Amino acid sequence: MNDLTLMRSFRAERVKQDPAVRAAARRALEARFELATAGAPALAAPAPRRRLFSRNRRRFLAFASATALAAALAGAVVLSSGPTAQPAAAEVLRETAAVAAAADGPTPVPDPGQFLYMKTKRVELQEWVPGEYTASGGGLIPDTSTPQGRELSRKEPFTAFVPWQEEEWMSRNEPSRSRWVMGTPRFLSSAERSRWVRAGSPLPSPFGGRKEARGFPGGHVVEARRGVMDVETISGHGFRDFSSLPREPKALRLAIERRQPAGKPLDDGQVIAELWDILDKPNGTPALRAAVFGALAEEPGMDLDRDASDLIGRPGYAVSYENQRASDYQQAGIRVEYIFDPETSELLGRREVVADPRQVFPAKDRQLFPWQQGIEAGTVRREVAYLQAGIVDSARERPHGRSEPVATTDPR
Amino acid sequence: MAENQSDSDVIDASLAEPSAFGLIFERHYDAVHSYLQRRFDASRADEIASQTFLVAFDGRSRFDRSRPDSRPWLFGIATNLARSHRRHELVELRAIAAISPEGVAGIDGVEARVDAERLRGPLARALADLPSEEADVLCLLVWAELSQPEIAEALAIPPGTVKSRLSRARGRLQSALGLRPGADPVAARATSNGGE
Repeated sequence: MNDLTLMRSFRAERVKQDPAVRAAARRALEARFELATAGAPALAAPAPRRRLFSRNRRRFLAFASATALAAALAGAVVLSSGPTAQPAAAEVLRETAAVAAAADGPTPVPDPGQFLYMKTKRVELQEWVPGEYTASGGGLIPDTSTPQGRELSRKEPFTAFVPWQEEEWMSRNEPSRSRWVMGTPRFLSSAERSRWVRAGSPLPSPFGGRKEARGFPGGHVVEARRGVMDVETISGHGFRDFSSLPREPKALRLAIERRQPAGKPLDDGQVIAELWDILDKPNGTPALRAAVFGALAEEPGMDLDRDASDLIGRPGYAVSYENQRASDYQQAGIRVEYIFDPETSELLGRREVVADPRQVFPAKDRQLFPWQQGIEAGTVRREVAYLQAGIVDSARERPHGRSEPVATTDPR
Repeated sequence: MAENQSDSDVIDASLAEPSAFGLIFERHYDAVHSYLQRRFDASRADEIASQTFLVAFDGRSRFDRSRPDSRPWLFGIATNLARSHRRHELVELRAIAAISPEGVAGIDGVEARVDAERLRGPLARALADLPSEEADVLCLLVWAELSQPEIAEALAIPPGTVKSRLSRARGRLQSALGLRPGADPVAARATSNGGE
């Protein structure tokens, strides 16, 4: 036996042709044909890949972990290469794209008359003056050049992290329905909470009870009581039709760029936000979801946290992007974390973290909002966990046949 | 008949009709993928193989159409793409070297299959220790089954350079595997400078 014979037998056992992998590669190439036929510039793109940890790789890692080499291996995986996004984030996103592409099961696109159902849990920093306004994420500065503004400026708002559960029944041709059920607010200090209790525990909008129903003109209020708002509206909660979006990452990004008004450059973080907006809807096909993950992998400036968890504690990976410039999409100084399960490609949550309080809460505003001085770097300003999605036949139905409200509350 | 066309003709046709390039994929994907599977873990091999054809398609106008066979060109692209993954290749090879049974000096009188298994670790170690340009030549020869002139074409280097790299690579390999008189694979492993 010589060296070449030995080499020919080395790892020969792992040469296997998987028709699914081959088909994915062929599809990626065909997408490129379409792009070329359409006259778009030729672009190199990452290809679909298989699961994050294929069986072989999983076995390999398990075996290697028994040795002192495990740490070195883990480090090498973290430092893997990627062209534009931070290497580790890009790599994980590409791998998750392959997982998404391989997903089976029916595409969750409702037929006419059916509804797309989504349930989420949310928390948001809110400031509110009961019966007047509720400001999301920060505070409201009344316009003191008007009598109403001057009167409003004399009222002292409450500020707290407000949790709620949201259910949506979305239809493109039937009245859509939204149901919000508030949880217990978490105040920035016990003194603030005491002041709120002394004021009668007034809730932010739309949780204030029946009087809030006035905020939904033309809608049918199914239920409105303290902590609960349930309303059907003729318009507003349809869902986007994704059928015309490209299924190839580069082409998808191109489609986003082409939607931009002439002369308006893309904002900082806009592409990432728009891609996630597609991903967090339940009616994306596996191919589209794969394209979104693939396109995210090409966005520069994303970091990876392999030890993240979502609002309800589910473990996952988070890719994040910190806005450097204020834009229509995000304030400067906010880091947005996108949390998902890389093994299934399932979305878990999204959160906005105050990365630089000085940018998020400028000094001039802090005089108006003393509570902002207590907000430290790392504070989560807004967060959502995706709990459940599916298709139902009516706006009274939930997936798995549940028809009654899943929660009621009286937040105190 | 498209099946009877040379790769060169097919690529030429794909300049006007992009989908014609699908035939190049059908002809050569399995070979390129197999070559990459020998070098990388499954998911990385999948990715590089797919990317090879995307890069080839995008660059098809630059293909030298005087050459009827596109295999050297495709393997050249795959090898270039693989270079950015060399670090992973090394990590895996060293892992195999670390977890495989110890190699022993001498292989006389032992069945080839057993030898291959026993020398798996030292071979992985030796491959990891090869300079990447020598490793590329060796891998293209053995796993892509390219001839030396085809390797020269794939890597855009003179045939003489292929020959000398191959000679050096094989020399290192044989020495590390104890396939030369007096060489002990265990000793070779112990003195390697490519360890953790």
